[in-house]
Amino acid sequence: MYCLWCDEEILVEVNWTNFLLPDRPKQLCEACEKSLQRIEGAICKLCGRPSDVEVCMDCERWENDAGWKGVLTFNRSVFQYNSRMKEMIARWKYRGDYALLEAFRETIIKTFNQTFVQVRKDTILVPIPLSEERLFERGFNQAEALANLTGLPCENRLSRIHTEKQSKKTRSDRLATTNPFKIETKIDRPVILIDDIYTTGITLRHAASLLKKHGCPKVYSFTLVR
Amino acid sequence: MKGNNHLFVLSAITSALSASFHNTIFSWCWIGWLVYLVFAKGLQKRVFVSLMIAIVFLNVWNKGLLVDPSLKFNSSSISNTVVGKIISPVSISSKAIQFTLKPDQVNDKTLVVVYSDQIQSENQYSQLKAGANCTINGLPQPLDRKTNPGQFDYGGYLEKQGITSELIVKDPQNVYCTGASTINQLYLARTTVIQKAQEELSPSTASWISALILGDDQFLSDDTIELFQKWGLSHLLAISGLHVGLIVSSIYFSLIKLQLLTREKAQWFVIICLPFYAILAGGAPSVWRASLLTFLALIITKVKIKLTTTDMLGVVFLLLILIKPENMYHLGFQFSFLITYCLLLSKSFIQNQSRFFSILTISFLSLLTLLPLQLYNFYYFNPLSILINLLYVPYFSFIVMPLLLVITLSLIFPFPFSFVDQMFQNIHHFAMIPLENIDKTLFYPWITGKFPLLMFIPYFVVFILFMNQLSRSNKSKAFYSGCLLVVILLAATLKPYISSSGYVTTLDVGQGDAIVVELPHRKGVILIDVAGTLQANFKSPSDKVYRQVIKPYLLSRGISSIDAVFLSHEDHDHIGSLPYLLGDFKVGKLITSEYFTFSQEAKKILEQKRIEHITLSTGEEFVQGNQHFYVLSPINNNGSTNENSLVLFSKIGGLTWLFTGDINTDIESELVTKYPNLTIDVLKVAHHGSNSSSANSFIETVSPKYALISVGDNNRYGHPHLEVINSLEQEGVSILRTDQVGAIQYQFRSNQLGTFTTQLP
Repeated sequence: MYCLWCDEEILVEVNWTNFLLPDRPKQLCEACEKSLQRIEGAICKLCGRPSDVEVCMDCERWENDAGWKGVLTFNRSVFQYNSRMKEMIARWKYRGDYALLEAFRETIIKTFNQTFVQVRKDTILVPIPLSEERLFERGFNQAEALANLTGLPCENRLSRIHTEKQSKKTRSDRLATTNPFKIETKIDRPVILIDDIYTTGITLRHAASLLKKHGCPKVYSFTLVR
Repeated sequence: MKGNNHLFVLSAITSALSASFHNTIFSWCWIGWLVYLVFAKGLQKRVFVSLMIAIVFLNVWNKGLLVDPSLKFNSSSISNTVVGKIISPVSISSKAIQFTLKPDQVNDKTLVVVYSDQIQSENQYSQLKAGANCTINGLPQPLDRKTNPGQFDYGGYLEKQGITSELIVKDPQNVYCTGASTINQLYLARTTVIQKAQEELSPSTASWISALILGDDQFLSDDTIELFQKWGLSHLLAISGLHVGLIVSSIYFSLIKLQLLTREKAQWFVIICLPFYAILAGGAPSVWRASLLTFLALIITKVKIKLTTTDMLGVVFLLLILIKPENMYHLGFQFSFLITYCLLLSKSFIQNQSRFFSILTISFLSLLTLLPLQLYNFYYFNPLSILINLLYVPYFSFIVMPLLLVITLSLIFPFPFSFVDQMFQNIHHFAMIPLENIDKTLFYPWITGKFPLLMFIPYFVVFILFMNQLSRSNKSKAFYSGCLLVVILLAATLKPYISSSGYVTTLDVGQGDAIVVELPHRKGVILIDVAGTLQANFKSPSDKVYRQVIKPYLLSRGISSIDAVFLSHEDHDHIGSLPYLLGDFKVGKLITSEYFTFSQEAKKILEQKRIEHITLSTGEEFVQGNQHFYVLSPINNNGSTNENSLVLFSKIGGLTWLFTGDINTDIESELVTKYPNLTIDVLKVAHHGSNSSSANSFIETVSPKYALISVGDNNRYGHPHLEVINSLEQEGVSILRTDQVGAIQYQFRSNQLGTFTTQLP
């Protein structure tokens, strides 16, 4: 087995834990695995970033805004957005290294199942869509790829109007954008939105408010990084 | 199959278990587990398929290796003259020369033993070389069979190596050999170094060099070997990773520091030397394990392949099994690999601890991993050995080994470093004193008895669980599994106290008597006579039968204290092992007739150990638990030891027993006159079946169902005499002879009737 990120050969040291119960084959070498920071311990109860206070500053601003209050019940993410993660996302998303997702598979499934253990039965997964132009450019929708890992039913109920890339904009630019989503069919069950990154939270909230406007009772979100 | 090599090792172990128990359940369970791993843990399909192929191969192969019963010893099929090739090193000790011979026509091998006290000149055995073709004239013999429970199975040990008979050569003139193989040069070099050490160094230093550098421990005294074994230090006497590592690194660094070779060349030098060293050091499995592992680790850095140490160990394991399948059954091999695996698996756990605690952990883990094997083979363990290892492992690593290496290397010079020799002697003498003193005062073994094979699996499962939880620092769960381990040990120890089975065991001690009575629920352990043996000169006493038969039997039954020992009379073949027995076991009472006299020495020991001596006269009884032993004789002082034998009557396990010592026909008729209604079920035939006892009339009157004859095979008195056998047969008595069937055991439950079983069919 070779590391999906650095191509080094992965050597699994046998110890008492994996002696009779071997681990699933690892996708990242120990060093690369260590360079990723999982989100664990104290987090903001709304956006899921590591935080010592119950609700972080960011979320407080969202909740103080009458228009956005309670649109998103909560967001949970798997990893922190550090420099290694930035590089990995870039290679995966923009340069089309689709297989790199395998490196996160186990952690994603574990975190997803832990977070949504109670609600996942009657919810629908909705990946944040790409515009047709963007999908053609990238070849795959990263949010859909993530959603497929969970093994739950996943439906494309939204579509997107082509705009400039979010990642090229500043925070204030982003907050000022109009809702880029359109709804295809209504949903009357709770929804978990899936996306790769939660940065300001505007994209997810745009999608959430649209869903809620069309009768969706509750919207959660789940992203790879925060 | 990187990272999964240990699964292949486990496949090899389960298939060996399947073969030796003639039951494939072990392999099936293992396959079941692997299937589970594929589905639940994502074990790769290609690994799984290779494992399946390996399991099938290993099962078929292991089965084929078992000795075909039709090949077993048959005196008529083996002629006195054997032509074949020497396929082992020739081992020369003060008592005999031994080597394995592969006869030309047949498949099974023969162990040739040449008694060396008849060897007059060196020339006569200089032709005995590995690989030589020989014509040997000798006496073919079957392998020594294990004739007692608890005894070491030497014959079985040889049989596992494909050896099916022994050829005894009394006159070295009868051995003609020519030629030799190249490997013999190495064997020769080893012998030369050992001899040179013997000649030029002090005997103590030479013996330690032979043992620790060249892997030949025959010059160490039996006491030293036993002392190390009792304190869990035997691993220091067997050349293993510790020794190989030290030797390799000191050679490597001296080559570099003295600027004799570049690093690159020095590494290659060491790599090439390692296999040669393994042969030079005697080629025991632990030596091969250590040298091959180091060899592989070094080679791998050269060819830029990455492998974990566990994988390398697995490769070495499989290699050694494929080359020499009998390795699997070799105790040294089992110990060596088990301990190495345990320490490798615990590596990260050990590294997380402070220096002192990591050494303590290693010592503790070593004891725990080896425990089932230790208890299966030696029946006890010494908890304090953990602490002793803390002292002596560093001492051997940092003082003994470096000094011995320097002395050995100095042998190439015309004058060895006698001052280093002297220094080693002084230091080592001084260092051994604490151990000897501790042995005298603090030896508290935990005797569990023979650890049942069936308990191995639960033990290791709980142990793996325990280590698993410990390494995840899940302390509370680890505590519970730790407790469970202790419970398993306690269960093994307490089994006889719970079991309602009782035993009367007539041990095969050769020409002599030793009978062990174990009452149900361990309400008492009583010995009737403890035979001793004499050395070859028939004068000085020897502890052979005690060491090989009596002690292992008692330990294997988990016996640490004996409530009473009946001593029938003063003869050596009835009481000879008493001094050794009193040294090792807690003995409550010694019971004799009133005419029995102890030697002055024995009296001293009894006083020292405060052992109660009870004399019983005819008509009196001794009660242990609810077991009554009635004394029927001697009625008067009959003037000779045999005739004054204590005669005991008892009802055990629903049968009536008569233990007669060595009484003669006169005493027998006296018994019949005094107790005219005496009938019995089991008769311990008096005086090993001599015709001076067991008169026709006596046997007719007491009319036993079973006759136990404790007698040596081919003894020089011709016991048991034909007349005795005839009269027993006429009465329709079932005769059980220890020389024919080995130990005879009567097993019963409480007071119900039991059954007789014999060690040999």
